[in-house]
Amino acid sequence: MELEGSLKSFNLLEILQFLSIGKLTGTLTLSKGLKEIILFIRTGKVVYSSQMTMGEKICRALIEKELIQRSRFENILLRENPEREFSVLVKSLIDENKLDKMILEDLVKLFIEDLVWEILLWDGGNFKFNHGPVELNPVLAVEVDIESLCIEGSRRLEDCKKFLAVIPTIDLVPTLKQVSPKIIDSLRQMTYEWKVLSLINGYRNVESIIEQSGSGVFEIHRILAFLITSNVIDLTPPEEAYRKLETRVKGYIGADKLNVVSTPQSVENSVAKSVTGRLLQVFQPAKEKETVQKKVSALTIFANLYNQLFDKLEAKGIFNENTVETQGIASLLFWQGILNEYPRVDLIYSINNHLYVERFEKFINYINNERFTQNCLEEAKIALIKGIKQLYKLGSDSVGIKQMNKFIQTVVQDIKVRFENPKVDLDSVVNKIIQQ
Amino acid sequence: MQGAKILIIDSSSAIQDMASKILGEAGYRIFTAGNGLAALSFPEIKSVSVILIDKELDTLSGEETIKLLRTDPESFNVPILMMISEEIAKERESEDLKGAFHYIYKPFKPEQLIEKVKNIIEEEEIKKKSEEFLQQAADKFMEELAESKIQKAVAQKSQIIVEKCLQNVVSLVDKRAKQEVEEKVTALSEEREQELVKQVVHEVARSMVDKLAERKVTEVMENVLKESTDKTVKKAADIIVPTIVREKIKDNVENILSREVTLKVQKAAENIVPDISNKIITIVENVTQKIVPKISRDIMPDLIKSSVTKYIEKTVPELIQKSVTTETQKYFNMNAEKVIKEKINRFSRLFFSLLIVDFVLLLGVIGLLIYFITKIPK
Repeated sequence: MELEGSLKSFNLLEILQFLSIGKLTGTLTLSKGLKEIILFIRTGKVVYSSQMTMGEKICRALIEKELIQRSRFENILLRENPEREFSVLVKSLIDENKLDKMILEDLVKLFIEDLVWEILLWDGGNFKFNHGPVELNPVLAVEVDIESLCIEGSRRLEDCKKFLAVIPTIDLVPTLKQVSPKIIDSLRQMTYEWKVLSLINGYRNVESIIEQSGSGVFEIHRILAFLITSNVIDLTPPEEAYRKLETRVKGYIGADKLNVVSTPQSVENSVAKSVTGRLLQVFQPAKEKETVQKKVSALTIFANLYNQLFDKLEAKGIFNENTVETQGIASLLFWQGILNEYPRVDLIYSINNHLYVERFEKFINYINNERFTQNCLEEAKIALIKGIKQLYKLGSDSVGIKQMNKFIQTVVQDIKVRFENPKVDLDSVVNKIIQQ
Repeated sequence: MQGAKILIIDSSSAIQDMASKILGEAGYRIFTAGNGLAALSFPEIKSVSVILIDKELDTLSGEETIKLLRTDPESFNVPILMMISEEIAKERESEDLKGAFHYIYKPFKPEQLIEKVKNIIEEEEIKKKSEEFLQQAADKFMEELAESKIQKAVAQKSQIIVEKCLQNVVSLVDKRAKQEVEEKVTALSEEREQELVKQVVHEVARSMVDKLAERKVTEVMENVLKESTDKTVKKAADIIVPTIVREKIKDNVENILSREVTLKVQKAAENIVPDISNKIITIVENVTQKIVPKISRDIMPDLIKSSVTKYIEKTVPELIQKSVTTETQKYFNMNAEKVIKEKINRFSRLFFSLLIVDFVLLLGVIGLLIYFITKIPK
């Protein structure tokens, strides 16, 4: 049996109530744009969610409870399948009697409930229920009673409507307003609100704040709505906030260094197109070879791959849907989306539609201490690869996989010619991207 | 200082993360925030050891935040380490740090950052300790100063108090002495007054009694005389003298008697009154000079004067009246009979002599009448 429809016609609570009454078993897929959440239902009860970060979320909460060390958590985060690793870690904690199963159940329930409140906050979206047996993660599967969920949900529904009126979309960026000392004094009394306030940095959007806070979506909406109505913060469109950010970071870099990570092709083109350029190519072939940079960092190589792919896709008109507000900052918008997930690499800037890793590397090199930098570097690599992956997916959807593969191979070849770096096995990275 | 709280304010999560890792590993407790308002509204701002703040923050810049932190009573003395981007710092090397006092260039080496923070905390510790010592020294100095001042003040005050006490004692003694003198004077004067009054009254009473007695005697005598005269005259007239003669005699007797009596009474009063008043004055003067001591001499005249006046005005008449009444009664009881008898005797003698005179006169008249009667027909 399949059940499908729009979340505008039925809200999640109505769907869950229907499944609960029928004591149905199956998967409920909820989607809005690129976001997709699968809820696993067993005899009318929610037992698990497909949220990729469920294990990570639980482990973050366990760090707060000092049951897991942060370094261990970060190490797992860098592995290939962190979710599976987190499940194993949680199971080992239960086996060693370090973690009470009841505490874990409460945490999972809390996250599932929060996920439901998050979906309630969606403005639109679709749902699809597939009837059939479900395979569950045995460690994190916890039954959540739909009846109590619906009772609480209907109570929160009114609040959700109020929040949505104040925060229409989670892409908006909270920015500070000028506040009076009186407001500062009153904020000083609110420890929980301060945690949310401290995450505002002028370019982090609502989604990223929710992600970084470790608190529930509903709770963050409540606090942000309170801060907005108290005239402490305002919501700014992302393009406006990012443009401001771009202007600021340009000051750190200096205009002369802006093309350091630019594509070699564009350099070649610009040189080849002019007569002087062609003459230069003839008379100074050795110099051209000198442009090949040896021993560049892995980050530079990934950034270069990202930039070249972006250029190609832009040339194909993939980002041409941009409005006047977003013109010239397509990469910035794209990259900020990735940074919302990996905020610790926010020193990799997107300027003039190209990624710039030099400042990040400068900081890392300065620190020159593996203990402090390894995780940062790894995270930066993961973020860049994720960016490349998303560009590849976007390109594949738009120009086709074949064309996209051709693009990526050309770029890889070019990079191989231009840079030498034995540390990066670019082929295997690209192959993985293509396979995925 | 292990466990000291460090608040890191930077819009970049990467820098927050790096700095917190470096300092966290050095044993500090780290709090991070991405904006200046979060620094201002940090609930534990008072207990923060160092605030690391980026110069280039969004909306509320690092400089503005520092300015506000410095004017806030909760955070004005929290040390601030300003993080300045190397690229910007090179351009504005000489720029004022706007209340931060400490700065570090970004990017920083871990040991650089740890050293800076450590130095600031140590500096702050030293500052606090020196402040404590200064405070202690100041307290001690103030204590000593206060003590000496207090001692001085106490000495001055005690002198003033002693003086005041003495003054009070003197005034009290004076007052008491005055009171006592007054009391004594009053008692004495009362006694004396009473004695004097008694004496005066006695004298007055005596004189009054005398006077009254005399008056009464006179009255009685007058009555008796009148009655006896009346009787005698009546008898004589009835027997001897015709009605015209009898009337004439009666008139003469009345005139002579009344004139005599008034004269006598007037004389008596004139003699008695001046004597009495003189006596009172002399007695009062004597009393004043003898009894009143030197201190009360100033007060006494008025007092005595007023008291005596009052006494004389109010009490004396009453007393006199009483005494006179009683004395009169007594006197009268004792002496009236005697006096009356004497007076009656005197009057009877006088009467008889008058009778004889009258009789002689009558005889003369009769003789004259007979002479005229015998001579006229002829």
